[in-house]
Amino acid sequence: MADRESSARIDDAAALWAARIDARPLSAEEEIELDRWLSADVRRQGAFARARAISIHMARAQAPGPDSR
Amino acid sequence: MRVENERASWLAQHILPLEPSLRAWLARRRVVGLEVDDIVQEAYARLAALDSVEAVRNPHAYFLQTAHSIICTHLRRSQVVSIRAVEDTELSRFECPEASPERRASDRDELHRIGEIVASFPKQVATVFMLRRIEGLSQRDTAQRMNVSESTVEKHMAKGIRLFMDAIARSGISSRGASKPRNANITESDGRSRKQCAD
Repeated sequence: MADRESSARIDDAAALWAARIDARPLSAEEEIELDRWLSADVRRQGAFARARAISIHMARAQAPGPDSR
Repeated sequence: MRVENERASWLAQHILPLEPSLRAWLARRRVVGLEVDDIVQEAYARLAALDSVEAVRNPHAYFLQTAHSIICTHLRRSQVVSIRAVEDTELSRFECPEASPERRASDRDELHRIGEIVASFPKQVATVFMLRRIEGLSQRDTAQRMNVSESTVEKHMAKGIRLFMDAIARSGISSRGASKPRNANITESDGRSRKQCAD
């Protein structure tokens, strides 16, 4: 357990991937890199899903819908 | 294994608002060798990997159940016998104060909350967020406006997301997903009672 990657480090990487995916299409190399990164630990998959969800949530500040006032 | 956009949206609406109450519940369990953050990450992974969320009528109960199942898997693996962590009576008492109608926050509050979090960002990160999200500039235009590289903009956005991840873990957010009345205990989401670690 000692050499287990910390959840904070995983969150760091997940946030970066979420920011990339949000901004532009990934390069072919990045696509492979992301899949490889995700496949190594289920916690990474969860952190990435959470980071994507948070990125989407943050975007709500951009375009408030009719039911937001 | 890569979360679909649609599922990420579902998580944003239905699961993010429940995260603080799940964390509070998990923090009282103290499972040896398993951090709260580990459980939360794995729970998101399981929700992201579901074929469909149509059957998830009660996201709150489902989220808790998922975390419970992760703890059980871990306990079985580590052959821990004493499992106070998974008493069903406690599961059924799981409360979600954020979900009660009287404490429901409006979407306006939610936007206000997002604004507060952004205001706490480092200046450059907040600027990137404002240009990208509020003004709707592309990453390239944002980079030009700030006279920095696109990769710097990307790193600032990542930092913003990262800070948001921590902010949500600490205090939570509101959303329409949290405004539904809580109407079920843990056994109702799948219509059956559950034995300890029987899943």
